[in-house]
Amino acid sequence: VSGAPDEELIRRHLAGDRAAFPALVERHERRVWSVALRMLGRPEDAADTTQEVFLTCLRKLHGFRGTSAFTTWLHRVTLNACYDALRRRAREAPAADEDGPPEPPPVADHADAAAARLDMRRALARVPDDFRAVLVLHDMEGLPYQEVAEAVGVPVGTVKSRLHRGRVALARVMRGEHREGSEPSKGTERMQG
Amino acid sequence: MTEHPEELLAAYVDGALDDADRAEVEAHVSSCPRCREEVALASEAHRALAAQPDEAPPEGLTLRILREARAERGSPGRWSTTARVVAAAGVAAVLITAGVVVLRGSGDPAGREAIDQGPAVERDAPFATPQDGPAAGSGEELFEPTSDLRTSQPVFRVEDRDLQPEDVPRLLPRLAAGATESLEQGFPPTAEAFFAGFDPERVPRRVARALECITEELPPDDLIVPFVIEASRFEGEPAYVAAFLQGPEPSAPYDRVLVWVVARESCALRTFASQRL
Repeated sequence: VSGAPDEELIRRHLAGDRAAFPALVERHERRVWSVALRMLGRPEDAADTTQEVFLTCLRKLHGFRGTSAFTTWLHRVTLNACYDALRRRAREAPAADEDGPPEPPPVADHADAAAARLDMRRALARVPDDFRAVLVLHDMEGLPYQEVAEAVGVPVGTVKSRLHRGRVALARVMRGEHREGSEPSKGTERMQG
Repeated sequence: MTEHPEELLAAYVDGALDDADRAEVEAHVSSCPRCREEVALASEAHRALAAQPDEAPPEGLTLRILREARAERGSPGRWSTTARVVAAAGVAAVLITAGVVVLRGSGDPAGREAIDQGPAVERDAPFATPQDGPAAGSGEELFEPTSDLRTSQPVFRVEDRDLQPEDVPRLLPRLAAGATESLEQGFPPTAEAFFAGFDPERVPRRVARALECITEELPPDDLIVPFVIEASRFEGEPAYVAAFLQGPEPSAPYDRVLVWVVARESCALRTFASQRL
């Protein structure tokens, strides 16, 4: 199972092979988790979302047409789940994100690295969702423009312009220049470069 | 070129432009302070993002996902029910006296080492020393079934070996060969036949306990028949290594053999593999 291509695992899963779905989970869990954590900032939300993504897969795999790569489809499902989680969060506690997501203190051993990581999570949380999605998929997960475009559902040109504006916005946050509006996840037009 | 060519600027920072486009961007940037500043900012963000280390999912997330997936698909399975019946009845542990199946190394060093260490002696508390069957320690057969394979019971054995992840797929060909041989010798040929002859009261307690642990993650249903359960170690940790036979339908012959490795303490899935029979 472990070495079979995704499409073969999906076929086996649909044919009733009980080992195929766990193999898909094992192979892609890290990817989904990583995108979810970077989109959502909070590990507990990322865990819930990762689980939701795979349950969605389980329900929708029979509709997977194989016209795009499974990983692209999975990124799309993951992003949608992240947007859902962000919407829920905005509904439930509109003001809670003002100072970025709450985080536990870093473990002493790796304090510097962990602190840097948390700084990045906080900074990312202040970049508008649509920009952040592109930053996460392209700059952090390493997806090419075309795959990002398919996962996000916009043209490649839009991916590139969001990428540029997202990078500029993130750098301004990192430099402490982020003042305007201070609403991290609303309109994409807010963050004009 | 547009006034501020954002699309080109992104590709410029990525180093993904051809010479002509790059020259165009550089010409623009040299005369546009805003784009010059943005390129500097974007490069800074790009470097910072690319330098972020991988994020590893927390321990236990796989387990949680698979449990939820199983819950979504159906009710608690036959094997956990069996385990409860057995535990409640307080059936005394019965040693499996005959069904000792020895998976011998067919030339690979890991298997060979296991043989060289001799018949298994389990040192961990919950497991009694198994009574060696006639096959233990003798011959070169890959898989030596005994007459008890005709009963609807998984074979349980204890091995003093420490499997590594890469060893697990290597078990499959031998298990598949052994399964085929056992089927020829009368092992119930379908899940339906297996369960028709299955009597929870006859399942020794430690086998029931093992099954309960193993099937916490394995979606138990009418398609899966436990075939061999080994108590040994995986990456140094006490583990169950369980082989299952699976058919496309309860009444159809098995067409696949699965191996699941589960930590004995936490019952968490460690690895798995499968192949066609």
